Amino acid sequence: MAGPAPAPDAPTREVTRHVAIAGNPNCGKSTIFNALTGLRQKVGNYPGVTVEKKTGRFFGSHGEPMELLDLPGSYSLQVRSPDEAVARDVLLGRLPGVPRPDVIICVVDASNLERNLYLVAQMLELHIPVVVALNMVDVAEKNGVVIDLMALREKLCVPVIPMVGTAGVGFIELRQAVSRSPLPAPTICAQMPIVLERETMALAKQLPVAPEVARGEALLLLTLHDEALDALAHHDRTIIDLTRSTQQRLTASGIDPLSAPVDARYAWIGQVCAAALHKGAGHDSASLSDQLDGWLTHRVWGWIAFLGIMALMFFCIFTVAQYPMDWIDGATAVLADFVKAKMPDTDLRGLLTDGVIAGVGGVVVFLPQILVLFFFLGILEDTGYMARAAFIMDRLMSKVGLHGKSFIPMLSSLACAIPGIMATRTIENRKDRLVTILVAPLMSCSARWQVYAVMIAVLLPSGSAWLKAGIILGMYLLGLVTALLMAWLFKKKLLKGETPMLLLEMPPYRVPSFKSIALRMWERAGLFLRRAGTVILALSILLWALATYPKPANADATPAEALAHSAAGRMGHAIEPLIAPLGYDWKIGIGLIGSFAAREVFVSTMSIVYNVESNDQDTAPLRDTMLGEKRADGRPVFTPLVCLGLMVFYVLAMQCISTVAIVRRETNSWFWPLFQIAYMTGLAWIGAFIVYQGGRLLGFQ
Amino acid sequence: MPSKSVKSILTLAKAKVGERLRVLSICPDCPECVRLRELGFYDRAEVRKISDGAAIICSLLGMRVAIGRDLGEHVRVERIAA
Amino acid sequence: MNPFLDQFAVAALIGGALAFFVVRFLRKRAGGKSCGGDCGCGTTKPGKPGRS
Repeated sequence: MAGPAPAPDAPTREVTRHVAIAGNPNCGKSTIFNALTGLRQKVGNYPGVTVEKKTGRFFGSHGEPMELLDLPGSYSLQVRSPDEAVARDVLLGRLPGVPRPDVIICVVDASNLERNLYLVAQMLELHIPVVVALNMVDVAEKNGVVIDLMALREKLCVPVIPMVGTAGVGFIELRQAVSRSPLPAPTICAQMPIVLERETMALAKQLPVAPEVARGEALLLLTLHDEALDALAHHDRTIIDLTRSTQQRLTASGIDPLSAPVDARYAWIGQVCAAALHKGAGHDSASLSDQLDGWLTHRVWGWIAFLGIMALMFFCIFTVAQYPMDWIDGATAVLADFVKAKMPDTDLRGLLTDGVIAGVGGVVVFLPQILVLFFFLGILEDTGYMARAAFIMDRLMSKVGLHGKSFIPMLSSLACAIPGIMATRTIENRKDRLVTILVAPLMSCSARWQVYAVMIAVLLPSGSAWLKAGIILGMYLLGLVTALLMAWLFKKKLLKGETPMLLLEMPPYRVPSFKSIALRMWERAGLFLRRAGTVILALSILLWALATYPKPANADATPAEALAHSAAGRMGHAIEPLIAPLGYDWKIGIGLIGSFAAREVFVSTMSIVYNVESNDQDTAPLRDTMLGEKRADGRPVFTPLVCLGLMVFYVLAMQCISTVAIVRRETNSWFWPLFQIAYMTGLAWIGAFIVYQGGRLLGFQ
Repeated sequence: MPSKSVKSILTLAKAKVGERLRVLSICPDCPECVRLRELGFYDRAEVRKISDGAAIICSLLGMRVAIGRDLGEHVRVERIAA
Repeated sequence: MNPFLDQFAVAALIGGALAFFVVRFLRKRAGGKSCGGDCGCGTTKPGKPGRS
């Protein structure tokens, strides 16, 4: 080896080049990004999974460090969503703090060359060197598509690297192409009509931007709609007026400024494809994806399939996850008993068994169920079914004034509202996006799962798995229906606007990569356990302290009296008048207060409350303790109505600080998160009230 | 009255499932239509309708796109003999 | 076990738990982190380009 070998991860070395990786959604961009940088990322299948700005460092063919920026997937620079706007702004050097890239790696799906070339055509107009990564050549070949690389390179006048991102093919060549020095700026390929070109150049001269981006910027301005022009923030009034008058002149001379550039680019793409693309016979015949779509998007069968998939998912969560859950439950009890046997009855022992072990164990026991949930969601994403679910749901969503696309964030919110709210960035309309953000946390996330699971165990100690799955499914449906109703209400009263029209790409069905799903589950398990070991652990200790101190002056007080005397007990008593109409006693009140930061804390709080209260040497499962819990008059606390009411309360309540934080960030205001807390908590109270009081009126217990 | 015009012009929403169609024009005004055009629904593009229900699924340029029926009314197409 | 030691251990654990939240809050305020990765939501953290 000649010279000093470059240290592969020396962070001090200057970045030699800023490289951006761009492309259509679902073209394998994230896979290539991951392979180049080694950073792990989620690789999903519905449009717009890359909603975060992701950067990473990689090394050129001579070890020179480069910064790689993963741009959100976009179809065009004429943007329609906040997501695409990010990509456009980076490429035009508009984003403060993000340098304009020196090279663009434009990832192109070889099996869908024509459509993908549209974005390439726009990239070539930006005056930044482009390297085309022709991804998924294996899929293209299987589909009978033959691409003449030499002809393609000649037509595009830029390096074209055939790749199979998932199999690691083509990365050496890609690194070489990106490291080449100097990189020639591309030539503009798509010829605009003469009049349009002349007007574009005239407008470009007036723009206060760098000369190399002026033409691209001018062309983008000219293709803007009236409304979009009005909403423009980064140009002043004179430029907007100038653009309008140019558009009017163009229209007068018979050129539609909106569609003419598109047609010109497709005309060019037609020439490129005529030279470089050969489709084999049978390409047009109905593929397997088409046949599957015939069933899965059918107006009757599609719904049946959707509901069936959901039911199967919840059933599996119950049956498959039960065994490991029993093991964890058993292990927790053994550990607590061991500590009780080894230590004298002091505060420290109480803290360890009733605080730490009960609190953390009560949460960790749900890990198996959450992993099964993520396994199913991963499969739905990776197979491409998510987009079909959005399609099926569009009919319902359009009834409440939303787009089928709004269903994808809602479906993601089944795992957690945070990725769900982040996924709303693919929604074009600001109001629709806001409505989706407001209702997404109503979808039952995995944290609620733990509350449901405990309550259902108390409700039906020996019911069948189907019945339990049915009730849980009911809770999920309640969340969904409420989300839809609230969306309708918000759209009608608060954020009025027209129902957007559906336009959604359906990615081809793919066999899911179990390795990638397993990796995600592994990451998820790590995150969950880390959270249990940090936040939940610390909260458990504090909750135990609140439930123990101050101690009653009378040393002979019963554990129940001691709990009532403690800080937590007093808080519970303080809110008792508020929750008494819901059938809750002050101990449940402690759980409600404790879980205000995060729902799953309810379970550990209840474990702590009941363990602190009991004096047993043996640790009974939380379920049995709750079943045996009695009111002062001897009636059980956890009647079926209270259990159902609590579940309904948790379906509807906000109870998640992380979601509040993300809504604050995404809406850039405190109004919306506070509004959300208020309306959801109100709904939760009303819902639980209706269940409890309504049930009693109907004669139930 | 049965439509027996020489060139049967209809909208994408009204076409039958399985038909091969050619795009004649898209309304120039709404932003959705500009995006449709960018996705490959340019004039003279070939489209095949795969499914029809609350929304339409079309196949063009080797990909599938789902379009709302209302948007489908904005796309004028003609049938191509199979 | 010495009762004093016992009380001390309990106080230390509670103090530690409190300190954990204080430090977390201060770090969040200083870093302005996005999805802190510990929300348990399963979203992968964005790359940390500026990490030194």
